[in-house]
Amino acid sequence: MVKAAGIVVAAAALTPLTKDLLGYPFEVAPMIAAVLSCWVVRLYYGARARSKEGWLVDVSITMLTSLFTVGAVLMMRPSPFPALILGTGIGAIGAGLIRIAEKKARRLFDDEPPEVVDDAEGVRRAMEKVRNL
Amino acid sequence: MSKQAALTRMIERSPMPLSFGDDKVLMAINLFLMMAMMYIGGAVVVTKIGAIVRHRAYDKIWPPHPVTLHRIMWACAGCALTLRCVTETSTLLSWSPDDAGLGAVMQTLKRYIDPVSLGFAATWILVLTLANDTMEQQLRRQPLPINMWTKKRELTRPALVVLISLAMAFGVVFTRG
Repeated sequence: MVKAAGIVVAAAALTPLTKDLLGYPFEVAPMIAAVLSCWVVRLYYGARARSKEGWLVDVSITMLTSLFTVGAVLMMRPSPFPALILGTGIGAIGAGLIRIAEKKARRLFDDEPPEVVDDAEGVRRAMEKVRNL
Repeated sequence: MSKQAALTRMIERSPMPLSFGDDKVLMAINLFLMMAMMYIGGAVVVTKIGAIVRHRAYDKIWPPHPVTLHRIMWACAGCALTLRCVTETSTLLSWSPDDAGLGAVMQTLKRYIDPVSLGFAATWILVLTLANDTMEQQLRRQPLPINMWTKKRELTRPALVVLISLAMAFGVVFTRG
C-alpha cells in the first residue's frame, strides 16, 4: 500500500511470475500448488496401491495424475487456492482417472451412428458433441 | 457497503494478509506448516478411520472395544488438526487480489469451520478423560513390548510430505508476485 497525502491508495497490482509450456502461458504459483499437492496426495493416500500392485504402477499413476494436473492448470488458469484443491482432487482420484476417461470415450461410440459431416452445420454439431463429452 | 464487500475491498488492496506486514518469509513459514500439518492430520484420520472400519468385526465399534476407543481418540485429534489447518491454508492461499471474492468467502467460511474442529478436539479430550485411568493401568503392565525405533521407516513419508510442503509454500509465496 502506498500512502499519498494521507490517503491510502490501492496498490496491489500483483505481477505473478508467468512461464509458458509449449506456447501455453501459465502462472507459476498455481502450477506449483497444484502439482506438488497432487504428489503429496499420491505419496500418502496412494500408499495402499503400492503394496498391492508394485511401485511401478504407483509411479505411473503419479505421472498420469501430474500430467492431468498440469493440463488442467494450463486450461483453467486458477488462482493458487483453487489450484491446490484441483491438485489434491486429481491426486485423490488417482487410477480412477482411467475409468472416467473410459466412460467418456465409450460415450463417443455408444451414441447413435455417426452422421455424415459434409457441411458447416454438420461440423458444428460434431464439434458440439465432442465439447459436451 | 456490506461487510463482505468491505472485506473484498481489503483483499483487493493487499497482496497478503495485513497482519504479516509484507513479510513474505513469515507468510511462507506459516503456509508451510499449515499445509504440512493439514496433510499429516488428514493421513492420521484416514488411517485411523480405516483401521476402525477394517477391524470392526472383532474390535467392536459399539460398545467400543478399548482399541477402538484409542483409534477414535486419535481420529478426532487428527480431524481437529486437519480442519483447523485446512481453514488456515485456505484463508492464506485465497488471499489474492486477483480473486478477492473467493478470499472473502473463505475468510467467512473459516469462522464456521473452526468451531467444528474445536468440537472434534473436545471429543478427543472427552474420550481421553473417560478412558485415561484404565488405559494407563493397562499400559503399566510388564513387560510391555513397544520397540518404537524399529518403526523408523514409517517416518519417511511424513518427512517427504513436510519437504514437499516446504517447497510448495515458498514456491507459491515467492512466485505469485
